[in-house]
Amino acid sequence: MTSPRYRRVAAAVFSDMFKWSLWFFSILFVIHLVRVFWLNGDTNQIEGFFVFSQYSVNIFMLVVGIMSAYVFMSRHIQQGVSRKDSYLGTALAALALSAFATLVPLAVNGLQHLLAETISLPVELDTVSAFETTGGWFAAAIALFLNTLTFFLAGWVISIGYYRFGWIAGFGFIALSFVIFGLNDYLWKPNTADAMEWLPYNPLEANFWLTALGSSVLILLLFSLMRLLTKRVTIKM
Amino acid sequence: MAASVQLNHVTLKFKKFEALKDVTLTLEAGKIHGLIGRNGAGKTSLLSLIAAFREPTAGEVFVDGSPVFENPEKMEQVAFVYDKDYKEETEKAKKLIALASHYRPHFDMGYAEQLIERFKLPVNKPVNKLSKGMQSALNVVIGLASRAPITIFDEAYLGMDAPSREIFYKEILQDQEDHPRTFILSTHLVSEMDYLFDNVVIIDQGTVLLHEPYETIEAHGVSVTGAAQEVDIFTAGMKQLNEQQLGGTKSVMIYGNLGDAKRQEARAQGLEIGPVSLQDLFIHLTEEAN
Repeated sequence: MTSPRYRRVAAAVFSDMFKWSLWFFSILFVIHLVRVFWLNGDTNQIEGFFVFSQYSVNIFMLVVGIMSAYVFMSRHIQQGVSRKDSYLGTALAALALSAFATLVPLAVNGLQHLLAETISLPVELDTVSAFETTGGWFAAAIALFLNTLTFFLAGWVISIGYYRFGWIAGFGFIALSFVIFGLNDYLWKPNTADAMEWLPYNPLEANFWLTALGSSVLILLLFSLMRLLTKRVTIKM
Repeated sequence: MAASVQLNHVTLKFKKFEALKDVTLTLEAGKIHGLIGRNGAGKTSLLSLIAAFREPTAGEVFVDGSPVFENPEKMEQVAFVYDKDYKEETEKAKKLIALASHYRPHFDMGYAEQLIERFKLPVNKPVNKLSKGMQSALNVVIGLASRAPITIFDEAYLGMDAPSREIFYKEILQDQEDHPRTFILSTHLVSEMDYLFDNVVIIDQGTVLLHEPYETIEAHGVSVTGAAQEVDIFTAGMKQLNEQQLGGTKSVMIYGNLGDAKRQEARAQGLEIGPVSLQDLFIHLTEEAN
């Protein structure tokens, strides 16, 4: 039986990640407002917050992932937490952060949708078409959740690569992250995945749930890889 | 709460370099153990194994009879305080103390606050903005207040001024009386800390040279003090570790035990026989080993 120590880890790690994400979303929201009111390029229609934030949210998750091995792992082991509990706690916190980072853009987008109907904005906000490719907001939310988690894991894998094997082998882990991003693009961005164009099949156009399943398998593989890489890792002093 | 430590034929290699060579050692629960050795002797390597920061290349490390590596119950019992690099630590000192209290089951926040007061630790400052001495004080506060059954201080006093070090030593003794645990104090400030130790482990080049209760250390040698000329005559031909002279009075440290006859002879000559200092013994043993 796993002890509740991993829950203590998850609570502390999520609390830190949550604070970072509040900063991140506050800044992103201000930028979005600037875009809507001042830098709207006199176009008729600009994207709602959900679409606007997707790329940035993924990069944010990548950065949080990159920080994870260095900020959290050493701290845990030094406080007498086992590698397994540190791993489980951080993984749980990452799941929670991904959920939060999905809900915020979704909620803000929803509010924008309601607001756009009641007040007059300088530009028209497109708060709907984002959900067309996935067939609804729920599926879009699942897609964003899986994407954010994949980006977090890519960052986490890079950071453990550097932490454990040093900077030369660390480059190998950056190369690995490109493979991860390539696979993720193949799954979620059928028309832009140049690296994977040799693959014959176009998952997202075929079936959303099949894509989500493929994405989940990739995530599970990355979680397993992280466990293998942290299982007996030597802690830097 | 105190726990014991056992190392069973432990070897630790870094590529071709052997940091620890087949070390077998038991550290009794509830005692203050002094781990002394020269720079690079293997002290920190040994301690990092006890704290499960790494695995030994060969052999086993036990806490209370169970392997410590990746054993959550045992790892939780070990607090390893070392000279940590805080260059990148932008969190405030109070956050790190709060984190320790979050993870350490026996953490005593009241005691931590008392220590913060004693060391005058500015807890609202980011840790990387604290002076070296204050960073060490922070480590000491966390280590002491964690009340981990095995508390390891690896040269935790670095950068601390003499009054702060004195507070540190006094707190160890006081807290050991109130809440006994197993302390391992690694140091090369031997003469300053030797009075703290119940047991002494001297380590050199990855091997244990001596492991004994502090009281029996004196059996390894004596100090002979008296009139310089008398002392010179009395100690001629004996293995001298160190000598000090003040005016006409001289004190010489001798390696090896004096027989009863020799002790009586010394007394008859008005010479004073005292214990050998751990520092002199340490210097002698490590020089001999080299």
